[in-house]
This record gives sequence, C-alpha cells and structure tokens, in this order.
Amino acid sequence: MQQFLRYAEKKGASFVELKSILGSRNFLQVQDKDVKELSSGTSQLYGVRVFVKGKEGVAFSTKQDYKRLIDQAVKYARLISTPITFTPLPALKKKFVTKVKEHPDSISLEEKKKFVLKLAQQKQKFLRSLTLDYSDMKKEFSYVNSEGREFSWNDLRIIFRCHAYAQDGDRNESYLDTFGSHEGFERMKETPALVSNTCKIAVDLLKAKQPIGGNFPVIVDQHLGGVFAHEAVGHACEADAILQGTSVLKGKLNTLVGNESVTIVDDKLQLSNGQTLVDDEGVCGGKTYLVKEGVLQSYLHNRVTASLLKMEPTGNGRAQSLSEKPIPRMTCTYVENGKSSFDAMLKTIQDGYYLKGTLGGQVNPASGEFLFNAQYGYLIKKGEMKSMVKAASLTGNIAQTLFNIHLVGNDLKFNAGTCGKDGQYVPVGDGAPHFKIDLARVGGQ
Amino acid sequence: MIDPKLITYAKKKTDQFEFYWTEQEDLSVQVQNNAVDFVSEGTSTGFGVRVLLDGKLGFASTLRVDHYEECIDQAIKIAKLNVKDPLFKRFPSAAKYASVQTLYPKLKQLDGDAIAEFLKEYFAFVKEQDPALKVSTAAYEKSISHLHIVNSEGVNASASFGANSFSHELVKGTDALGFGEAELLPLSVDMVKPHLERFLSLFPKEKVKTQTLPLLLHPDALGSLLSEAFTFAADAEEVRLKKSFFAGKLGKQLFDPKFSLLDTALVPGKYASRPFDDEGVASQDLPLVEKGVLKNYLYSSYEAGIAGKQSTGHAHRSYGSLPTVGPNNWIVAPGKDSFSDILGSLKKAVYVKQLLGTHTIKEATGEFSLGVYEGNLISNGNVQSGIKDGMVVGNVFELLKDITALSKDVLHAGGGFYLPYVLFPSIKLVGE
Repeated sequence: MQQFLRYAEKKGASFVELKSILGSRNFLQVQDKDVKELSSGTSQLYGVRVFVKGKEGVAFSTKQDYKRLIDQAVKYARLISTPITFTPLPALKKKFVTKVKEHPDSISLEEKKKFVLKLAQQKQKFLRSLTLDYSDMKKEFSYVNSEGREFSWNDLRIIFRCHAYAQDGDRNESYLDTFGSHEGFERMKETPALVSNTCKIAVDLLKAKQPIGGNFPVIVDQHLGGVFAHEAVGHACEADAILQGTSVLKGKLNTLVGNESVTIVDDKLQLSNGQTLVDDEGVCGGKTYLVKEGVLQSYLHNRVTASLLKMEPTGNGRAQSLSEKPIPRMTCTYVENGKSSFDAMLKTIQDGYYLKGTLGGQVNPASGEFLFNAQYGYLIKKGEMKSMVKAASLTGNIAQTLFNIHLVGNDLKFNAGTCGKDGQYVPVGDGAPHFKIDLARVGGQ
Repeated sequence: MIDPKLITYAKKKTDQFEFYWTEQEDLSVQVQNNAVDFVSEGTSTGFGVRVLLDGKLGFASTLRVDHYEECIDQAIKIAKLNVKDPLFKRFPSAAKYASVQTLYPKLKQLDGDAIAEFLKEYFAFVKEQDPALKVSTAAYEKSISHLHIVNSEGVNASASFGANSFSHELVKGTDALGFGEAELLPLSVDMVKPHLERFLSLFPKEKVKTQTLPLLLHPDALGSLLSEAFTFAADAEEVRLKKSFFAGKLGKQLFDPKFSLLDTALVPGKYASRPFDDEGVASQDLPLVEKGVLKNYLYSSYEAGIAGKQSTGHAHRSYGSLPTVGPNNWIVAPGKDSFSDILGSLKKAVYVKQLLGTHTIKEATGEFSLGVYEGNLISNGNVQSGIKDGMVVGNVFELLKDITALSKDVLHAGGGFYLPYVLFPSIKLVGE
C-alpha cells in the first residue's frame, strides 16, 4: 500500500486514504411458515480519497486498481470551490475483531433455516401473515492513510426482523419489531418471545382506535424514546448542521437545553446496530455526551467539522460506502437511565397517553420541529392504562420538549435502525428508558 | 457483458438459470453552503444468479469480478438447501422488445466540468433571488449503466440507461426546504428555478388552527402518497397475501370516476421507460385505474406464474437482490381546468406541496398522519402565508373516492410520476 500512498503524493496529494471493504452476507426470509428467500452475496469495493491543495477527490471501484483510482480522484478534486485543512492526527495502528459467542459461520445454513422456520409456527386467531427476516453479515474493513494510520476491522452483525399482519373482516393491522447487533447467533435466543409478542400486538391493534388529538402528558417507551434521542437531539448535534446554521442547537454549547434529568449520549462502542470502532476517516471514538444533565456538551464530528470548529474529532465521520463522503453521523444514540419507575410515571398522569413503538419520524433541525408516528399506545386515565390506541403521532419542538422531560425511567433498551441523511444510509442504534413528556401534541382523529 | 462460458457452465449444472449483470458508472458532485465540496467518480460491476434445481430456487450475487463461477456454485448450494417451491413455474421466455431510447448522447457527454458550470449558474440565480437565501446542501448525480440479462429460457436482453438528478436544500433564517429534479437529459438551471419561487412563497410562515378544509394537492405531494400507498396495494404479491387494500377488488369502482392511472414504460423520454423489465419481460402499457375502476395488478414472472398469467413487466431489482414488483411510469389522466382556474375557485383551502414522513403511511389501510413540509393556506383564490407546524390526517384510498377537480397541467413529480394537481373536498388540518 505504501507505493500507492507515494504515487498519490507524487500526483500532488497532501493527504491520501486507501480503503477497502470485503463483505459477505447470508439472508433468509420466511413468510407464512415457508422459506421465501434464501440467498447469499459477496462484495468488494476499493476506494481512494485525496486532498490536493486542500481540495478533496474520491474515486471507487469494484476492481482493485489503486493507481487508476488515484488518477481519477486527483482529476476531479480541482472542481472543489474552497480548499479546507484539517488538523493532522498522530500515526496509529490497530486491529479490531468483533468477538461473538456463537459465530454464525459455525451454524450451517440448514440449521439457521430450521431455527427461523420453527419461530414462524405461530397460532393466533386473526393473525393472517407473518414475515421473518434473518441476516448475518461479515465485513473486513481496511484503512491506510498518509499520516501513518492503519486500521482493520473484522466485523460481524446480525439483523432480525419480524412483521406480523392481522385481519378481522375488512380491518387490517400490522406490527413490526426488529433488532440488529454486532453479536453472534446467541442473540437469536430472544427471538421466540419477540415473535409471539409482535403477533399479539398486531392482533390487539384490530380493536385499537385512533386517539383524539390534542395536547397531553405522554409517556414514551424505549423504542419511541430512542427515536426521539436520534431524530430530535442527535441530528441537531451533528456538526455539519451547526456549521450550516441549520441546527436549533447552534451556539448552545455549555448551556442548559433541557431539564437536568435529561442525559443523551452517542456511544461508538455499544454492540447495537450502529457500533463504529473506527470510522471511515480512521478515527477511533468512544462515548460522546451530547446532553449531560440538561447541558449541551458536545457535537458529533468528522475530521473536517472538528477542525473548523476547533474541537476534537469524535469518530462520527461515517459514509454509506467508499464512494461517499464521510459526514457527521450518529452511531448508537440513547437517553441514559434516570431514577423513575414506569409505575411512578403512570401515576402522575390524570389524562394522557402511553405511546409505544415507532413507524419512523422526521425532524426539521433548523426549527426544531419534529414529528414521530408511534406504532400504538394506550390511553391513560387517572394513573391507569386504559384502551389501546393506534396511528398516534407526536409532534413538538425540541427546545421546548427537552425542558418538558422531568421523569426518566431506569429501563434502558436499544433498537436497531437505518438512518438516511444527504442520500446516505448507515446502520444506527438508538435507545432510551421510558420517560415522560409533561406536555406534547398528539395527533389522531 | 456475460461470458458465454458461464452460460455453458450453468446449462450443465442447473435445470434453469438466470444471470443478471450490470456495470454502472457514477459521477456525483455535491454542494455545501453555496460551494462545491465533494466530487466522487467510480464504477461497480455486479453479477446475480438465480438457479432452479429439482424445483428448488437458489440465489447468489457478487461484486467480485473474478468470482462468477463461484457465485453460480453458491446459488446451486443454496438451491440444494432450499425447499421445493411449487409456486415457481419458470423464468420468462424470449420476447421481442420495443425500441425505447434510454440513454441519450447528450447525457453521456455530461462531465464534471459541465456540472460545475450548471452549479455556477444556479448559485448566481439563488443569490439574485434573495441574498438571504442559502444552499445548505445540493447534489448533482449522473449515472450510466449497462444491463445484460440472460436466462435458460431464451431471454438475452441488453440495454444501456442514463439518468441525472439534482437535489438541493434551501435555507432562509431557520427554515429549510428540500427539492429534487431527475431527468434523462442533462438538467438546465431553468428547471430548478421554480423551486426557489416555491420556497420564498412560504414566507411569512404562520401557525394554523385545527380545521377541516378543501385540499389542493401539488403533483409532488400526490406522487409521494401514491408511491407509498398504491405501489404496495397494486403489487400482485400483496394482493395474493391479502395484505393489499386492492385484494379482491378488481373491476370494482374504488375511486372517483375522474381518476384514471396508467402504468407505462414505453413513452420515450419518460424517466422510468425501458424496453424490458429486470427479468427480460417486454414492457407494455397497463391501465391500473380507469375512471375510478381498479383494472389491473402489477406482476413479476413469479407472481404471474402463480396466478396463471403473463408477467406485466414490473420486476425491479439490482444485481444483489431478487426481483420485487414496482411501478414503471405512472401517469394520472389530467382534468379540464387549468391550475389557476382551480386556485381561483377556492374560497378557503389548504395547499399541500410536500409532505413529511410519507414512509409512515399505513400501507395496508392507506391511513396517514403527516407533517405539512411545504404548504400554504388559500384564501379567496390567492395563495396566502406558509404553514408552520401543520399536519394533515386522512386516508389515501378514502381521499381518492371523491375528487373535486384535476388540473389539465401535468408535472413530472419525481421518479416515473407524471401527475396533475388534484382538488379534494376536505381534509383535516391539525394545528394549534
């Protein structure tokens, strides 16, 4: 690799990265007790990133031809408008291996198939269709740069997805649950409970009504709370949004942005879906406090935003692929445990909602407006959970909502997701304990 | 292109097979804060194999150009592990394809320097409109791909495709709004100029009261509703599994008689046109809804085999995935009134141009509860202030049962969607 680094320098590059990803993946889908898809794939991609007089160029190919890629990357770097510089990092060499208890390779495809087929044997009245997806993915990431930084990461991830459809006459409902983690097949132990619970909720939804809209106190569960941490707070902490002036948290560093019971972190080391031991710019990150006891502590950086804002890189420079620009992205973002119990929170609500699960959401980080759709929930009356509701949305403003969280539970859980930004999709994790928002707008009927 | 040796190899080892080979060249120029800040160029070559062995299907794919034989072996290994699929009939047979141009020489010639020129002109126009306006992010993407499909049943189809797109997010004060444009021919700045006008027409943004109002939908918003709800409902597989709202409703009057929707891949110059689908099935015109009556479902060869029909040519896939069903171009029949006549007729209404979070629409039922990303109130035939923090709540399938008017103007609303403006009698707008 050294010869290619030298070649790029000869071509005028002051900074060079050479990267490759070799991957393989097995996928199994069971639909209604039958195997719907069994497939596997292999991939390879080589990428070059150069800075020529501060101007960045990237080239990639499925063929290993670093010399040609360097030529290509250098050629188009001249189109960049403004040269940028970033603070150099010291030389460092590290090898990472994701260690698991039960390696998916040690289990034959035949056994995996049997395992998932067994999970699909669900008998519930009104359950009409059940789809289960299992995939395991191996990835060998190699990184070398002209600063003398060299990393490799032998990574492994499994993803499980369960989608249940229920029907009663003309009425159809569905419910989806999923996990993704840098763990081995041992994680599949929890799937029997996950699958039967998913089926039960889909069936229960047949009787749920849309909530009556209005402003209410709301308890959100770990799923919805995790999405809140990610969408409402995490995105607003991404340093590119700060630099573009599109974040409601711009200029708020070291100030109170929420109630002191709120602590939100982005943790690169969690085993959850978003784990990033080394990012796509050769930065190894750890646990980054975004909000600590209500005070805004840090933004999420790639190397360029960290230099521009004169801060330390946080290891959040992630790209969907070697063809893309590493930009500030979350890894595993979650609300830290508080002290309240779920029952104690429930008792404080006379008239409100308990909202669970998420069908996704979006946020306008510039204004702080957010919208999340809960998968379902329950009406709360006089401190007790009553009838089930569905298709409830939660809207509000980040700035106000963070001050409206006083009670945070102590039952943190993680969820797997995929986050899209600037056309790039990366795996992420999020999580939260149950927490209460004193007043939020619930949309429904 | 596919090496004939691989065909001989697969013929020997399988009962039926299908190769899907694609090579794609991408060029991407990205903008941040009014300046070009990233350029990336590259090629990727992918190969996907489906095989049938003793009634069992296997699929494997690879990006490793020197692993094609191993990839075929892996597909065979998977087929052996698989259970027999009695629903699978066979891969499509050889067919004659219409000639549809899918790669234009002008697009081939578009290089990084030409894109840089486009951006220079675009920045100047943005500045001229309003010095307070900023382009926070933008991307100009060009891609050219070559596709070759060969199967054991006689399909040998190849074509080249080219497309380019421009997406941009504009910021003024604390408000941001994104737009996109995609065409087969190189884009001109004139094509994106209306976006700026749309953005500036939102100011001053105001909060709204919760109320029920007539709804005027811009083609962009209609496209995102159809793309989520109709794509799922029209998929023959979802119909067979009875997850689709359209299940068992063929030939029924589901929508307003003014609503007709045609799926076509044969109109030259339209974004999603193609001579054959991703299994080598010849493209055709397919009316989905005629005068409110549901006419057809969308099939891939697999689903068509189960139903005892011919595939309608709606398979979509990449080298690394199995075919799924999706729309080609969707063209909604225009109405008689001009957009300005419809607007002029409105005393009070909500005008929605883009929606937030359309992926949360309930596919099975059509229910939605979505943020108004870009929208205005209308009063006495005039577009008023932009909507802040608004949400619309309704059901896609219910809405289309009663249409007040469709415009005669039809716009390209992203992807293969070519749609008019549509006026509905009422929607619930949730605000304060």
